[in-house]
Amino acid sequence: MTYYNRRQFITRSTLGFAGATMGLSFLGHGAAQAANISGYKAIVGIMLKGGMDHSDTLLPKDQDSYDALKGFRPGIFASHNSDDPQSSRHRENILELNVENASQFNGRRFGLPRELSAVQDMFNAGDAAIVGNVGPLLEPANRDDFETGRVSLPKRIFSHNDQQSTWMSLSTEGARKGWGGQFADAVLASDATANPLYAAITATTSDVFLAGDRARAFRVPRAGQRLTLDADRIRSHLGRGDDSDEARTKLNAYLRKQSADHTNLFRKDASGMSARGIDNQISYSERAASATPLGTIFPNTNLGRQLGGVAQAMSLRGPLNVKRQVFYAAQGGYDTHDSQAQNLPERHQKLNDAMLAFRAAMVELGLWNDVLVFTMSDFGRSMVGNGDGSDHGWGGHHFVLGGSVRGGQIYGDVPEIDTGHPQYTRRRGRLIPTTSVEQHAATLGRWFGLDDGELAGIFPNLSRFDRSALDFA
Amino acid sequence: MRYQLKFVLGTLFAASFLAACGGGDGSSPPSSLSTPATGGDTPPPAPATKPYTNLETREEAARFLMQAGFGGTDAQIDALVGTDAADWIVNEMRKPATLTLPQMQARYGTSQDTDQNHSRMMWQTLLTADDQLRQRMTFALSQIFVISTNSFSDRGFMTAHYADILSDQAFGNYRSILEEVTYSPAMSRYLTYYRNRKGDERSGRMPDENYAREVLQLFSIGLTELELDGTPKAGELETYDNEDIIGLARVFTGLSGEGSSFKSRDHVEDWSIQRLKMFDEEHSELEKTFLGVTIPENTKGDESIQIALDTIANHPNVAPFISRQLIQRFTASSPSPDYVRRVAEVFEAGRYRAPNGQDFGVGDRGNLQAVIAAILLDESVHDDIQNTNEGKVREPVLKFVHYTRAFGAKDIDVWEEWRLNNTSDPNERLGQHPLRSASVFNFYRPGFIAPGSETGEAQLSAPEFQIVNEGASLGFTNFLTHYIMRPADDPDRYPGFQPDFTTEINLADDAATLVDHLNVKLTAGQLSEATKAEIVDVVSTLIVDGDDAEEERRKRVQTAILMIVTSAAYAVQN
Repeated sequence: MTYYNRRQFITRSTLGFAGATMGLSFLGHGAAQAANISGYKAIVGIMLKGGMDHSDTLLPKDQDSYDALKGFRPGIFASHNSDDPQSSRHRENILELNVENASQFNGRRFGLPRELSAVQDMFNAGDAAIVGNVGPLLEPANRDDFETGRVSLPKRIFSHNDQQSTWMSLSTEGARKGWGGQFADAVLASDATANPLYAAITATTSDVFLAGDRARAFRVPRAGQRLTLDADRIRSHLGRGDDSDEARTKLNAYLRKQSADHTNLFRKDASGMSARGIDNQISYSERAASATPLGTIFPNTNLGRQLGGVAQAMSLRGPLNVKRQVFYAAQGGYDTHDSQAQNLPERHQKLNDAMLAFRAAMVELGLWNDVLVFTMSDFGRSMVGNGDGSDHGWGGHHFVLGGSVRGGQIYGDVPEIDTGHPQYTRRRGRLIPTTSVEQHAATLGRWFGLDDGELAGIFPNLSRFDRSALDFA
Repeated sequence: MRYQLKFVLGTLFAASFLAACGGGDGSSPPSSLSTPATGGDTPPPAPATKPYTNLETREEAARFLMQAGFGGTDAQIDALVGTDAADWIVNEMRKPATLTLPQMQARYGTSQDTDQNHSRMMWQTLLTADDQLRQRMTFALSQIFVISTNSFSDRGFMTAHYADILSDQAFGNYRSILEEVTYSPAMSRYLTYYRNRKGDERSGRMPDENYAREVLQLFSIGLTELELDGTPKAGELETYDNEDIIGLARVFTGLSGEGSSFKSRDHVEDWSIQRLKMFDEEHSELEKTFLGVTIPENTKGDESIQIALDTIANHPNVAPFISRQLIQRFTASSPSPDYVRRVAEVFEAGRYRAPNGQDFGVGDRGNLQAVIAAILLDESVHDDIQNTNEGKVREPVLKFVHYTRAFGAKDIDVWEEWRLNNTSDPNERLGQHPLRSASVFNFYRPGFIAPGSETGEAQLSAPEFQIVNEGASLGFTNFLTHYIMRPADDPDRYPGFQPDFTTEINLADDAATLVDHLNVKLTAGQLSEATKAEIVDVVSTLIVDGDDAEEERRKRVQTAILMIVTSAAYAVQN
C-alpha cells in the first residue's frame, strides 16, 4: 500500500482547513451552543474489552529494552517462541515504527507485532499515532502518590467493568452518560436540523459510551443485513385475504408504537424501547437497502462486521441528515491471563484487518480525512507476567487513526521498561498513567468540533493536566 | 494479622456440618422440609385468615409461576389456585434434579463432547424439565457464578458438569457452591487458574490473579462495603485492595486436572468432569494475606483454599451482595433496600418461616432453601401490583421458555431446532444464550441503569435493559414469531415443537374471550386496557368462516399470542 504520498497531501491540507474553521466557530457563536458542525466528521471508538496488554502490543525494538521486557515476562516470550527466527516476537521480526519524535525516547525504538502490519503502515505513513500510557486519572500521579494515597485517584482501578465504564464515562459502573454521548449532545445543541436518532451509533452493545442527555445509542446491523418484521413480511403468517392485509397493517402499527397507558416505570421503558427499536430498525434497514452498497469487503469477523455496519451508516449520512456522528464498536477477548501467545495475536490480527478494511471503505467514501478511529480498553496489563499471561493493570498504549491525524508520532509517554521507574507499581509493574483519559478524549472532542467551554463541562479534571501535550489531531 | 485458631475450628465445624446436610446428590428431599414447623403429630390450627401467600385467583397463581418458575400451563395455574405458594416451593424442592451430564452421556456416549450437544441438552431441560424452580435457580446461579462457553471450544461435558453443580447445589448452601465452583474444571479453565503455578522469584513470575479478583468482585463480596440492605456504607469503603489480590492469588495455585502430576499429559480421561486436584509442589508456600487474614507460610493448598473460602464466605457483604442479585433474577429488577435486608437477614440466619408456618432451612448461614423462600414469599412480591417502581424486566430466555411451556409444546426435540444452537445474536435471536455471556460480568450488571429512561430518572436499576432494548426488540419479536406462527400441518418442516393451542382455538370465535384468557395465562391479567383493546381489534379483523375456519382460528390465536408476548406486560413481570 502506498499511503505516503497521499498522507503528505492530507496532513497539510486538512490541518489548514480544520484550523480555519475552528477559528470561525469561535468568532461566530456565543459561549453556549458553540460546537463547530461544518462539513462531516465522525469519531469511531473501538473498545478492546478485557484490557489489552500494551506491553505485547507496542513492542521494544532496541536490544536493551527488548531484553528488559523479556526479563520481566520470560514465560510470555517463551510461549511466543521468541527465540525462533520465525516468531513475531523475535526481535528481528518486530515491525519497526518510524517515530518522528524518536528523540524524546533516548534512543529507544519501538515496533508492532506483525499481526498489526496495517497499523505499522499507517503509522509510518503518518495516518496513525500512538498515545502512550493513557488511563483514568483525576490528577497527575506516580507510584508514591498511589501508595500513599496523597492524590485523589479514580475509583476501582483494576476492575474490568468499572474501568471500562471509567474510560467511557469517567465514572464507575452505573454511570448514565458517556463522553461519546455528550459529544453528540453538544453537536445536536448546535444543529437544530440534525436527526438525533443517528447522532450516536453502536455496532455492538449499548454501552455507556454513547449515552447522553439527548443522544442515545442507535444500533446498526452489519452491512447488508436486511432487518424486517417477519410477522408482516412473511405473508403465510397472518394469511392472504384482505382481512389478513388489514390485520397485518394494524399489527405493524401496534408493534411500532409505544403503548401509552402504563404507570409502572419498567413497563413504560420496555414499551418505548420495543416500539422505538422496531420502528427505527425497520426505517434504517429500508434506507440502507435502497442505497448503493460499499465496494469494500470487510472481513467476516465480529469486528469486521461491526465496522462494515459503521461504514454503511456513514455512507447514508446524507439521507440520514447528520453532520457529526459518534460511533462505537467493540472487540472482546483481551483478558489474557493465560495463553496470551495464542490469543493476543489472533485478536490483533482481527483488529488489524478490520481497521484496514475500514480505512479502505473510508477512502472509497472520500471520508478518510473526516474520521478519527481510536482504541479504548479496560486497562493495560501487568508488565511482570504470571507464566503465559499477564494480569490487570492501569495505564496502556492506544492507537489513533485517520487521515487528519498528525501521525507517525508517539504522544504522551512510554515509560522505560523498568519496574523501578516511578510510573510502575511495585512487583507486578502495572503502569500508572501519565496521560489522562480526559486529556485524550478532549483532543478527540476538539477535533470533532467542541469548544473549550463544552470540553470543560464534560471533562471536569482537564485543567489539572497539561493541555498542549496532546495534539495528535 | 495472624490467622486465628479459634476461627479455623469454627469454620471447619461449619464446613463439615454443611457437607453433611447440604448438597448431596440432589435427588433426596431437603432435610429441612421433612419436619413441619409446628412439629409433632397434631396439625397446626388453621389460621383465622389465610396468609397473603395463599394464591386465591388464577391471576395470582399465574403471577407466582412467572416469578418463581417459567410460568405455567392452564392446568398448572388451575392446580395452584387456593393453595399456598410456600407449599408449591416445598413440592418443587423435593423433586429430583434434572441433570445435564447424565443425559448427554446417555445420548452421546462419552465421546460427543461438543458445545452444541450441551446447548441442546440444556434447552431440552429448560423447555421441558419438571423441576422448574430448581432449573430457574440454576439459571440464576449461572448468572452469578458465571462461566461462558464462548471461551471453550467443545467442552460440552465440562460445561454440563458445571451446570450440574449449580443444579445439584441449587437448594444447598452458598459456601458449598463456592467450594464446588472453585474446584470445578470449568471455572478453572474459564478464569485461568487451571495449572496456575506458584510464583518464581528467579524469573519474576507471579501467580495468575484472575480468580482471586473475580471471586471477590463477582461471586461473593463485591467492591464496596455494604449495609445489610445492600446499599453502600457511607464513605464508599473498598472491600479490598491490590495487596489483597496479590495475597489471595497465591491461594489459587497448584490446582490441575485429576492425574498423577500437575503438568504432564497423564490426566485421567474424564478429568474435565471431576473435582480438580491440588498439587502442593506448585502451590505457593509463601504467606498469604488478604481481607485481614494471614495464612501462614507453608500451608498446604487444599487447606489454604478452605481458609480462603471460609474467610470470603463469612464476609458480611456476602448476604446482601448475593441476596440482592438473587432477588433480581426472580422478582425485582430494582429491589428496595428493605426487601434486600429481609432476605439478607434470612441468608445470615439460614432459616425462614413462611407466613403459613412452613420452615425453610436448618440454620446454616447461606442456606439457599431459606433464601429462595424468603425471596418468593416476601410480602412485596404478593402485594398489589400498582406500585410503579416494582417488577422485574424478564430475561429474553425466560420469555421464550415461558411461551413454550405455557402451551405445553409437544414433542420438543431441540435437535431439530438449529436456531437454538446459539441464541446470542440480538438482531436475529434472543440476544441471550444461557451459559454464554460475553464475559464473566454476565449478560448485564446488577447496578445497570438504563440511559435516557424513566427508570433511570427514578434511579432504578434494571440490569436486563442492558440486553432488552432498542437494539434487540426486532430480533426478539422475529424469533418469537417463528415459534408462534408455525403452521399446524407441516410436520416435515416442523417435526417437533408444536405448541398446543387447542384451548385457545376453542375460544377464538370470540376475540375478547380469547384475549382475556391469554391475558391471565401469559401476563397474570396485567395487560393494559388499551393494549387489550388493540389486540382484540387486530384479532377481530381476521375473519373466521368457511372451509378454512379452523386455520383462521389458529391465526387469530397466534396473532393474539404474538401481540401479548411483545407487550410491556409480558416483558415486565409485576
